Amino acid sequence: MKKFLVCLLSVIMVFSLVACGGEEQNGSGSAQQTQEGGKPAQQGGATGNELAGVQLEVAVNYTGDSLTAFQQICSNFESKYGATIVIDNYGSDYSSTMINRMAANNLPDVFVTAGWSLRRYKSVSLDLSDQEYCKDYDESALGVIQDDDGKIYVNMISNGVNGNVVNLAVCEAAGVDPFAITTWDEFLDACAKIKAAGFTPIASNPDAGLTANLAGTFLTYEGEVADVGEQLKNGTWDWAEYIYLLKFYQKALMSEYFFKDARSINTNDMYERMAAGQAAFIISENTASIATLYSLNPKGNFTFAPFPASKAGGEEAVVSGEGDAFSIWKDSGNIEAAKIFLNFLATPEITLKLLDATSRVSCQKTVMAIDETPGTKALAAMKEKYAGHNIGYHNVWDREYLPSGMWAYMGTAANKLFADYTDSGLNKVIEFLKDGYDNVYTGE
Amino acid sequence: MQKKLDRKYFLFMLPAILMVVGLRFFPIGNAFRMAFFNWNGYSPNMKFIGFDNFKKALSDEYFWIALRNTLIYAFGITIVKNVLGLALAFFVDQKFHGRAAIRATIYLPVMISGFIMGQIMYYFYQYDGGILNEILSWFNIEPVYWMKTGLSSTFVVLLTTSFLHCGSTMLLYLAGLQNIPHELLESARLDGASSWKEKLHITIPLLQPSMITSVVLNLIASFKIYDIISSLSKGGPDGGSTSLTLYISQQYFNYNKAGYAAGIAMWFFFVIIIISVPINKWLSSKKVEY
Amino acid sequence: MKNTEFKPKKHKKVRWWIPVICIVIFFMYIWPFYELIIMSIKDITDISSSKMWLSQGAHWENYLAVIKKSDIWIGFKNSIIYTGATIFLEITFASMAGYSLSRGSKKTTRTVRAVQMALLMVPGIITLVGTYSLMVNLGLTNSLLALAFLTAAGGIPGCSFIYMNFINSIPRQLDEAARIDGAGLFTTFFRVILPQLTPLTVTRAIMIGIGAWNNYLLPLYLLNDSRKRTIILVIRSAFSINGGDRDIAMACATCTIGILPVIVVYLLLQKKIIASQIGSSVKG
Repeated sequence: MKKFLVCLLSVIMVFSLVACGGEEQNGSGSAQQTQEGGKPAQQGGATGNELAGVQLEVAVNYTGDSLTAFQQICSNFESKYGATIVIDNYGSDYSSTMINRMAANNLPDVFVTAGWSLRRYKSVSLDLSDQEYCKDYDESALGVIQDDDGKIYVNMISNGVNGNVVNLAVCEAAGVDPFAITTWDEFLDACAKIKAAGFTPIASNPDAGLTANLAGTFLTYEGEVADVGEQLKNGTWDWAEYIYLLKFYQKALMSEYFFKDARSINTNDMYERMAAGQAAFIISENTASIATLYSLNPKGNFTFAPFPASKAGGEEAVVSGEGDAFSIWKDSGNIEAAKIFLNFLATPEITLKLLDATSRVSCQKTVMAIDETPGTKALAAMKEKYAGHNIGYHNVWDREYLPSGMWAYMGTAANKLFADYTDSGLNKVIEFLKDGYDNVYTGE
Repeated sequence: MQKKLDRKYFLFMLPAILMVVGLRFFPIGNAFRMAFFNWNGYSPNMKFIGFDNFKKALSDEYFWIALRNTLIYAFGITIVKNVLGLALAFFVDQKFHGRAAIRATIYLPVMISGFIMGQIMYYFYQYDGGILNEILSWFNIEPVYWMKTGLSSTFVVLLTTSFLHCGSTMLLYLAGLQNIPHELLESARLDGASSWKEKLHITIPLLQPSMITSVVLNLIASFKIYDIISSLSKGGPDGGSTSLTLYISQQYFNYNKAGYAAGIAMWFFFVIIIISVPINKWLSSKKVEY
Repeated sequence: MKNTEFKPKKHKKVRWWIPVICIVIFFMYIWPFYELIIMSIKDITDISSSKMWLSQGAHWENYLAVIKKSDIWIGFKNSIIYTGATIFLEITFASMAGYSLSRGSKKTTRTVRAVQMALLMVPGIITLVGTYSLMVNLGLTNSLLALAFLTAAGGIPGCSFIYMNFINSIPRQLDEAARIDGAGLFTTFFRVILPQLTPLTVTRAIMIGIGAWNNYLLPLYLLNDSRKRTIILVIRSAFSINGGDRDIAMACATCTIGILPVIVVYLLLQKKIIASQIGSSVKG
């Protein structure tokens, strides 16, 4: 036993030596970085001082690599214009802090809207409709950020696009043509074929995406089985029609189209099994997951797909939300500088830098033309392959129709559904969501 | 003189008192106050709703599940850890080469964050591709869906925690065993007691102080169980294996129901008091310190 | 310790089952760590093979990639600051309180003891619920020092009593001698009493340190800024899908490196740690 311990110890010592060596390397590396970052700043201070003395406060919710990328972009801006940027990084505290600051009427000059440019921040945001970048938006973006009166309050660099993901290899092996699927019923028929061929049709695990993101194809979009958009928006909906969506999942769950252990797998498991060719679809995933699947299985063949419609003739949908999107506080003292900053962010070069870190999808036509990031490519491929389909581009459903705070309820609802999908179980889910909805609505 | 000194001693204790009052008593008081409000945790308007949060918890099915699980965790882990720990202590108390290494190995997982151990153990219990099921497949046994229901997940968490953390209990008993006067055991052996009888009738009763310490410490710790659940079962499926700590943090931080979270926290506090007061009374009657 | 002096020769029976059980126990407890290492060097595309051994080559470069990322070093730095501050605060204030409890009047000691016993039972979640909004309003989230205060306050009740028990066994004459020499209470304690307790202080520091290093609930909610994450939170984010590695192998490599300091400390100090565990439970 002693020998074992000695072996273990020595292995660990070697590790720690390596680790220590790494620390030194890393230390010098970061020092170089700051030097590199520092030099152009000084040079920039000499050449461009258009905004010298101006201090911009920017609130963001970035973490990790995205934050690093954003900080670099900001220091580029500082060196170019001579302004100072103070970054408030609130991380996962972002929305509560911003709501506090909004209540106190003390907002930063520029802030990330995190999906709420219209529903939450419209009243405090500057109308940006006259800005150059607003003329450049793709239709997928306008559906998200344009107000009913045509006004735009945000500079959206990118959006997070959400739809279904298809494993083409599995579909081919099962003799299913995924590009012919236009309704959820056809989707279930395809699932039956895939199941018969010995695969698991759907790899998804219970998650708010399943209960929220595709709800519009049952409840609110053009030509679907229900049309309750108005009631949803004025808070009078009683959730009765939600049964259409639950019935769809009930069929899928009863026919065992999900993995047997779907209710307890984590998202990594889901990707691994999908990549390994065990399953054919993931319901409700963003485009970035295509890149993940290819990294797990470079030989695979995956595509992004719209959500089918709930009945023939209905609108299929791709939902997208504000990704890297920035608004200006309308009472800011530095509106001009803030506008320059947003224009700077919208330049293709800077946008691509940010997208590289955040893996979202560009939504300005000029950038889309040159964007080679995997998310954008996946969306372009989808548009090509589903060319004949009637696809609507909508804002993420919950951000369009639900009060903020419902997301957590939608996640719990998905878990409840997977745990009990009998008829009484479905009723419990509806009851739960209705309760939560009333709660959140009165709370807001 | 003594009075002046007493005041000095009090001053000496002041930092600790301030910290305990400010960062232990105040939070309890504040949580108690919050429990009477309908509040999302950040908005300036708090609405006083009396005892509604307390009442609401009683009709919340997830609260009862979380409470049930917390009790299962607290008592289950305490029992399993003590049984395992006692057995391991008897084993390690024997004289053989490498027993220090074995002791150190058993104690190793106690040193690692429960969150991380849960994260690793997750890969043991996967239904498809999990390590335990792979081992079962060697013997042609059908894979078991360990995390199928809330209750099964609860027991998976319970057993995993007990297994990983029984090192601390083992050490407690080991300490107790080393404190037993050797003459007692020798005389029992001379009387012809077999090894098992000796353990049952002589050693275990002598271990009573260690046992009390161990039970109390484990109960305190297991009531607060959070880390390992949050990575091993994430409270799932469908909240079936949540503990109260996990449920309270979800209510506060995911659902923005700070008032309700505080209400449940107060119920939690109440349950702990109900359980700990008799235990404390009993202990002080036994004059055992822990 | 006396027991070890017995010669194993006394037992004539060949106890063949002891090494068997040893090996079983050893492998069972090392297994999780073995899995962690195996999974950390698997090929990213190797998704359907067994988790128990490698079917393809080992990718030790995952470790290099982790070391090159700044996250893990930020995590170590923050954990060291947080752990250090917690140890310092808890030891200083708890030992001072323990001294007062030992030397002060017995009546206060009894009252304080009852209160502290009750406090031991209070779960950390109540502290979190009761302080979180206040911390946000005061801008104290993302402060490692504030977190250290909060953590230390949780440990002080237990720790001060352990100190009290040990100080009780130091004769009061020592205090008086120091006082006659003109030393104040402060000097008496820190120059005369505390040095007597160095072994206790060292073992307490180790235990408090490991507790703080592994603390999860409070840092999870009180440290949102990615630059203020402790190592446990860095590991957590490596395993998470949003903004994480999306690669189990890399996440496991991050995890392995993240737990190395604890394992190294444990292996170096395990005799002391185990002895302290045994010792404190007997004494306290």
